[in-house]
Amino acid sequence: MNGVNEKTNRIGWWFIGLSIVGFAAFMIYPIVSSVKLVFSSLSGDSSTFVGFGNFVRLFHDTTFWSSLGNSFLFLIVEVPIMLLFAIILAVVLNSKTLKLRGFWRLLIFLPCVTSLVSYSILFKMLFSADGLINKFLENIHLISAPIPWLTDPTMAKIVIILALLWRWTGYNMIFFLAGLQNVSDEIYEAAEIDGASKIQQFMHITLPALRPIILFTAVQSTISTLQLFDEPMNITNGGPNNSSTTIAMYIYNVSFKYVPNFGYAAAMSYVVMFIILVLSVIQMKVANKDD
Amino acid sequence: MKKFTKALVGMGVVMASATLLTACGNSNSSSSSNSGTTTVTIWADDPNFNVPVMKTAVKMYNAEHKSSGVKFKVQTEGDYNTKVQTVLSAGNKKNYPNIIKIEDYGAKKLISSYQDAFLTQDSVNLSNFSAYKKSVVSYKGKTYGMPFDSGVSALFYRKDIFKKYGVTAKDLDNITWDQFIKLAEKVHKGSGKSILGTGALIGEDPDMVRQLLQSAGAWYFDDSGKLDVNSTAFKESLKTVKKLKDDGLITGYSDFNARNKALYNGNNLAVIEGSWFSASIKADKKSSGKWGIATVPRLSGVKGATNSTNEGGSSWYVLNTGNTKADNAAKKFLKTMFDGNSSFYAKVLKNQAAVATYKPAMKNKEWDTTDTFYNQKVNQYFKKNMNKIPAVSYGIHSSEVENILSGNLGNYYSGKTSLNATISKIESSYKSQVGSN
Amino acid sequence: MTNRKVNSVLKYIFILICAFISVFPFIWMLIECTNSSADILAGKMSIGNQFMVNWHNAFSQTNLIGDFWNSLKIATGVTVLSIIVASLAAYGFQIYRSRGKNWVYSIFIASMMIPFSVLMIPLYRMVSKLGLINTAWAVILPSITSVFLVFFFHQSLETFPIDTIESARIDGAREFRIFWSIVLPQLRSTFAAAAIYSFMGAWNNYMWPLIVLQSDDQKTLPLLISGLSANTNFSIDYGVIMILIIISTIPIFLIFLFLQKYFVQGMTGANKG
Repeated sequence: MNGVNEKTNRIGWWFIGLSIVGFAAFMIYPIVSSVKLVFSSLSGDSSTFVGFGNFVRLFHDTTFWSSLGNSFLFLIVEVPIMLLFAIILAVVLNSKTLKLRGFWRLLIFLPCVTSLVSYSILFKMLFSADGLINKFLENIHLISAPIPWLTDPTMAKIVIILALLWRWTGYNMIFFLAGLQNVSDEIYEAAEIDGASKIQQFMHITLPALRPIILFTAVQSTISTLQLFDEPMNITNGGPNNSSTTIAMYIYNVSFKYVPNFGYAAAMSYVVMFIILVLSVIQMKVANKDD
Repeated sequence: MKKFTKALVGMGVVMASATLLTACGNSNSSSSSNSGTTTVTIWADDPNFNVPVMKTAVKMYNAEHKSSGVKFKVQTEGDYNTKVQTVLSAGNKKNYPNIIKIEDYGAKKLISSYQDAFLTQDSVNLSNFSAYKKSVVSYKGKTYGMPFDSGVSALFYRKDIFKKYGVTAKDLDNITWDQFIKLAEKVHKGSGKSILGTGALIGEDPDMVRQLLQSAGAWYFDDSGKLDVNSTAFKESLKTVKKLKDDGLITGYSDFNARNKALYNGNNLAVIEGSWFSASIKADKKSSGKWGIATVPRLSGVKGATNSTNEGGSSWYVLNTGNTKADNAAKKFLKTMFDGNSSFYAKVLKNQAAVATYKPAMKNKEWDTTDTFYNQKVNQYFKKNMNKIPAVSYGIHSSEVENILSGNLGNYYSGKTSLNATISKIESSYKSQVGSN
Repeated sequence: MTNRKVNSVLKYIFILICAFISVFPFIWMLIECTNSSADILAGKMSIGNQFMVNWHNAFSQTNLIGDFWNSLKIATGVTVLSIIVASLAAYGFQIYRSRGKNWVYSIFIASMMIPFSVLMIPLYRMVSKLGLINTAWAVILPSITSVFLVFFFHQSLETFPIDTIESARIDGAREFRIFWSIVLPQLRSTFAAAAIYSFMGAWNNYMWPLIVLQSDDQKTLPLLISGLSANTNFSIDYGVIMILIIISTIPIFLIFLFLQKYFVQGMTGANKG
C-alpha cells in the first residue's frame, strides 16, 4: 500500500514501540493481574478461590444495584442535556455574525480549567443550605424557605447534574465547534436560498455533519459518567441516604473503606467495563445505522 | 523478522532505563536500613491533635535517649483511613510506616484483614488503661495496640439558655432520655431553638446511634461478631432518636461545619460528642462562660444502661516492616512514652487537651483544675466517666453496617417504615452485602 | 429584516446567560478570597479586606510552594513524555502498513473503555514493588502511554498529505528525520491541543495521586485542597481554600489563554472524518 516497501513499513514498529511498552506495563499487566482477583475473595492478605462467587454475591447486593442505578441516572439525564447544549453553543459561537467570538468561546470554556476537586468544593459551598444560591433565590422571592440542596435525595442528584453540566458543557462544545469548521458555508447559503428555516438547517445539515463527533463525545461521556467519582465524593459524599453514591464510589468503598475485598471490587469493575462495552457498541450501531 | 527482534531489543533498553529510574526512586525513599541510624516513621492524621502529641512524645523521648541512633519522623496524612488501608493492601513491607494511629472503630477490621502486617505489643500493661480499651486493642487474645485517647462523651449545652427556661446543671446529670426529653421540650418551646444537632442528616448520622448503643454496653454486633440489631438496646436507641426528631428536639445538618456554625450562632443549643469536641466549642471564644457539660442521658428500660459512653478515640499500632531494628525501636518508644511516662501525659493534656486513657497519669493535678471557659472541672468529669464506659467489641464490619443504616434509618425516622420492618431490612441488606451474617 | 434582528438579539441574550453562568463561580471566588472564612459562610458578596490575611495564611499554614512545585513537576513530565510517546505511536500506526498493526491499534482504542478501578489495585501493587511510592514517577509513569492522545494524533494524521512524506523518502530522508522535520512542524496546533489536554489532566488528577503520594512533601495541589476541605469536625478556613483554588487554577488558565487559537485548530484536525 502507498507504494512503501515492507522494510520501511517495519520501521513503523519502532515508532510504536515505546507506547507498546508503556501499554503492556501499565494496562495489560494490571488487567491480567486483576483477572486473577475476580475469582478470588481477597480479604486483606488472605486470598481464597471462590469461582464465580463474587458475581453471585454481587447479584444479591442491593447497594451495588442502587449505586449502579444512580450512575445510570446521571448518565441518562446529564449526558443528553449536556451534548444538546454543547451543540447549540457551538452553533451560536460559530455564527459569522456574532461579534467577539473568541472572547465568548474563552468564557464558555473557562469552567474546564478548574480541577474536579476545586469546582466540586465551590459547588458544595454555593449550594449549602445557607449558601449563595439559596440566598439569591430568597432575595428575588422565588422561594420562601431555603431549598435543602444537599440534604434532599432528589436535590442532591440535581446539584451533581448541574455541576457536571457546568464543568463539561464547554469541554464538549470545543469538539463540536471544531467539527463545524468542516461544514462549508455554501451548504447553508444554498439551503437559505431554498427557503429552509434555521431549525431545518440545524436538523438536516448541522446534525448530520456532526454525527461522528456526537458519537465520539457520547462514547467519551458515557465512559466517564459511569466512572463518576470526584464530584459525588466531594459534593455530597454519596449522601443523603446513599442517594448519590455512584458505582465508582461503591467500588472505592469496598476497596478502601469497608473490610477490603479486592476480589469483589474487581468483579464489580468488570461488570462496569462490560456495561460500557455494550453501551459503546450500541451507540456506534445507532450512529452508523443510516450509512 | 530480524527488524522485529531489533525492536524487541530496543524495548529491552527502554525497560532497562525504566529500572534505572526505579533505582533512583528507591534511593529517594526514606528506608535507610543499611545506614547507621534507624528511622521510625509515625503516621497520624490530625495536625492540631495527635501530630503535636506525637511530636511532644518524640522530643521527650529523644532527650532521654540521646545515643539510641533512632530518628523519628512524624507525618500527617490527608484522607487518612484510605491511605492506611492502601499501604496495607499493597503488602509491601518496605512502604509501611512503623507506627500508625488507628481509630478504635476501625482497628479490628484492619488487624483481622492484614494480620501479618501488625506486630503484637506484648509488653503493654492493659490494666494501666481504662477498662473499655482492652477489647479495642486486643485481637484473638493478643495485644496489638497501645491505647491512647478516649472519646468519652458529654452533653455540651448552653447553660445560660437552659437556665433561662428553668433547667439547671443538677437537673441534667445522671438522668434518663425520657427525663431529658421533658426538660429539653421546656427549653425548645421557650427558645424556639433546636436542642441537639448532628454533623450529618439524622438518618445518616452514625455518631448518635453509636453513642447510645455503647452507653448500654451494646454494639451492632454481639460478642461473637454476628450482626445484632434485634437487641433491646438497638431498638431503644432508634426509638429515642425518633422521639427526639418527632418532637423537633434534634436537627441533622449537612455537615459538621454547618452544625458547628449553628452551635456558634445559638440556633442549636446542645450537642452530644466525645471529649475532643471541647476544642471546637472553645474555638468560639466569645461564648466563654455560656457553655456547660453534663452526663449523657441513659436509655430507659435497657439492661446495663449507663450515663457514660464514647465517640471516637484511637490507639497506636506497630507495623511489621521487616526491619527488626526499627520495629523494636518503635515498640520501645511507645512503651516508654505511652505506658510509663505520666509527665508526658500531663504535658499533652495541658497543651492539646488530650484526654488519654492512661490511669497512672490521672493523678496529675491538671485533671482537677477548673476550666475557665466552662467554669467547671471539665477534665475531672472526663476522667470519672472514662472509666465507666461500658466495654464493647466494635467488630470488623462497622463501616458496612453504618452505610446500610444511612440507607434505612431515614425511612424509619420519617415514619415511612416500622421499627421491625427497618430492622429486618437492615439484616437482609447486611447479609447480601457482607455475604454472610 | 426584523426577524433577523430578533434572532440576533436572542443569540446575544443566550450567549450572555451562558457566559455569565460559566464565569460566575470565578467572580465569586475572586470576591471571596478577600473575605474571612466567617464572611464567606455568611454569604457576603462584596469585596472585603482579608485578602492579605488569607494570602499569608495560605503560604504559612500549608506547604503551598512545595505542593505547587510537585504539581508542576508531575504535569510537565507527563505532558512532555506522553506527547512524545503518543505522537510517535500515532505516526507509526497511521503512516506505515504492516500485519498486526491495526490489531494493536484496536486493542489500544478498546482499552479506553476500561474503568480505572480495574487497574487501580494491581497498579498500586506494581508501583509499590518498584519502590516508587511517594515519588513523582509513581504518577508520571502510568500516564505516559495515553491511549486518548494516540487516538487524537492518529485522527489528525488522517488528513496529512502522504505525498510530502513520500517525496521526502525519494529524496533519501530517513524515517525519523521525516517525522522530526516535516511532519512535526505541520502538526503544531495538534501538539498544542494535546499539550493543553495532557497538562490539564495531569495537573488536576486526583484519585491516583491520592493513593500513591503518601507523604506531605510529595502532595499535589488537588490533594492539598481536598485534604483541607474534608468534612471533619475541625473548622475549615474557606479564605485559605479560595486562595488555593485560585492559585491552582491560574496555570491552566494562562496556558489555555495563550494556546487557545491552536487548541481549537488542533481539535479541528482531530475530528475530521
